[in-house]
Amino acid sequence: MKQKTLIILLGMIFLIGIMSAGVGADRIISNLPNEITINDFIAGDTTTANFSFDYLNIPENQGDSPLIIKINLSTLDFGENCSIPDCSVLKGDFELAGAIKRYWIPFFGGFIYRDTILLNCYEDSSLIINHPYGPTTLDVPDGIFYCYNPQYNNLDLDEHDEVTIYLKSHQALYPGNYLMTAELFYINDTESPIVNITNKNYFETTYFKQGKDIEITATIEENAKVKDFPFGRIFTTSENFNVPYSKESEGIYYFFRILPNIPEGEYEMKVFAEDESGNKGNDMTILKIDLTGPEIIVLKPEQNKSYNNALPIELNVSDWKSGVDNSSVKFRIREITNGSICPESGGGFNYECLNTGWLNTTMTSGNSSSGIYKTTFNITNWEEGVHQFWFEAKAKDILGNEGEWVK
Amino acid sequence: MKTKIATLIAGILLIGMVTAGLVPYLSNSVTGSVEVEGPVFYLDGHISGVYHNLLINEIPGEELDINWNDGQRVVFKTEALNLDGFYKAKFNFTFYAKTNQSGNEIQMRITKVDDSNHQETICDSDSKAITATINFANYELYCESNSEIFLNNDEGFAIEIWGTSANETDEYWISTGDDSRTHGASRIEVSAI
Repeated sequence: MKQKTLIILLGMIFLIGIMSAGVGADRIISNLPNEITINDFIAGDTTTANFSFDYLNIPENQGDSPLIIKINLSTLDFGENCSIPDCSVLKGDFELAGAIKRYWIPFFGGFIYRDTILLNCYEDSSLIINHPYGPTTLDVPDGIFYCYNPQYNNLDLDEHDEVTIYLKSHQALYPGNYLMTAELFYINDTESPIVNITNKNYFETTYFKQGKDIEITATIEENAKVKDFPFGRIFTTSENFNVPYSKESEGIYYFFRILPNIPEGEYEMKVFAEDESGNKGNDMTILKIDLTGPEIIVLKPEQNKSYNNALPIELNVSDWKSGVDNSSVKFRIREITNGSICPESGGGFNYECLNTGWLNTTMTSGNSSSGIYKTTFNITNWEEGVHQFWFEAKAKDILGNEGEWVK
Repeated sequence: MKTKIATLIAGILLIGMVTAGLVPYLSNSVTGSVEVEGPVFYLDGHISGVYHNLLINEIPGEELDINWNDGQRVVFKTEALNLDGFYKAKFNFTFYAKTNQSGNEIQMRITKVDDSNHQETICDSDSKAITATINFANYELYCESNSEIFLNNDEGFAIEIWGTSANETDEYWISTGDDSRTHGASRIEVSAI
C-alpha cells in the first residue's frame, strides 16, 4: 500500500528594510541568522520556529523601542494538489504563541541572560494594540498574526533576543507546504502632547503691564515622555517673548515671567510641549496689556457757577479695562493770582496763594469700572467775590496707569 | 518528526500596508522549511463510554490487546474534533493483528460519529487476510472518502473493524499502544487526496 507523503515546505521569511509609502524605517535589527530551524509537525500538533537578533547601540536606534512581530502564514505551491475549493490559511487554522529570551550584550562580548517574556499572538480583526505610546488599530487579514507582550513591549539598546514562536494547527489543516513570514515592527508615537492651560479665565479677565508678573498653569498629557522642558510664549506684532518653565507639581506645569514693555493691546500667549518623538502640542490664551489711565469727567464744580461755604466735588471716573484704584481718585485746587497758577509750594515771591494739595474723594456709587466720586471742599474762609482757580483731578487704574483732568 | 535546516534565501519584501504608528525595523530576511503531514489516530484499548479510544497524534501509554470473534465489531472513536469539515482524505490503517485460523480476513470502515454515537460511513476498505496465528504481524488497509467530509462540532472519527467470515469461532486480535512485541502502534494515518 502506497503511503503518500506530502513534503511540506514551511518557510519563515524575515524582511529587510521595508519602506512603505511615505514612512521611513530608521531603526535597525542586526544579526539575524542565515538559517532558521523549524520542526516538522503533524496537523493538530505544535511545532516551534526559532530565530534570534540583536538590537545594537548604534545611531539609528533608540532605547525603549517597541517590538511587535507580525507573522504571515500562507500556503505555498499547493497548486493542483489542493483538493478542496480553498486551501488558503483562514482564521482559526493556527494558534500561535511565543516567547523571547532576552540577553544583555556586554562590552566585553557574549551574552548575559536577562529574562524570558511571553508573547501573545492575535489574529482578531480589527486588533487594537494598547501600547503606552498610544493605541494602534490594525486590520488583520486571514493568515496574519501580531505577536507581542502587552506588558513588556520594548527593546533596549545592546539587547540580544532569541525568539521562539509556537505554532499549533487543527487536525484538518490541509497537508502541504506553508510559508511563514515574520516581520519586526516598532510603534512610532504619532500623538501630540495635549496641552491645556488651566487658568485661561484669569487671563481673559485680567489686564497687565510692564513689570507685572504672570504665571501660566497648564496640564500636559503625553503617552511617552515630554522632551526637555515645555515653554510659554507671548506673540506680539514686533517681537515674541518667552514665558519660561518654572516647575511641575502634582501634574501642573508652571510658567513664570515678569513682563517687559509691551504695547497696549491683546496678544496670543501659548504654552508648547514636545515629546521625544517630535510630536508637538500647544494651547493658547490671551494676554491683555493696559497702559491707559482712567477717564475722568468733572461733574462738579461747574464752571462760572457761584458756591457758598462749600464747593461740591463730583467726579465720574471710569476705567473699563483694569478698573479704577478707588484710593487714587483725588482732586486739587490751586488759586490763580495775577495770571499765575499757585505753585506747588503754595506761594511765590512776596505772596501767598491757595494750593489745597491732592485731596481724597469717596466713591458713592458705581464700581471700579465706572463710579461717582464725591466730596466737599470748605470755602467759608474765602473772601466774597470772584475767584479763579485751577482745578485738577487725577486717578489711577489698578495697574498704576494715571489719568488726569485739568481745567 | 523531521528537522530540516533552512536554506538561505535573501530578499527584500515590501510591506504593503503599514498601519498608523506601526513602523518596520530594518532587518535581513531568512527562510526555513518544515514538513507538515496529516494527523495520525492511534488505537487505544481503553474504553470511554461505549467504544474504545482513538487518540489524536498520541501513542497510548499502555499496551492492550483487543480481541473479538466473527459476528462482532470493534470500534475505536476519537473525541469530538470541533471542526466543520475535513478535506477529501485517504485513511491508511496500519495495524498489528493475528487470528486463530490463518487466512481469516479483516475489514475496516471509517465513520464519523457524534456524541450520541450515531455513525455515518465515510468509506470502507477491502478485506485483508490475516496469516499470523502466534505472533502479531503488520498489516495495512486503506480507504478513501469520496469528497470533502463535512462535520458537526460534536462529531469525531471512528474506525470499525470486523472479521468477514460468518463463523463465530473465528477469533482475531489487534494490539494497541506502543507494543514492544511489534515495535509499532496500530494507527490510522490521514493524507489528502
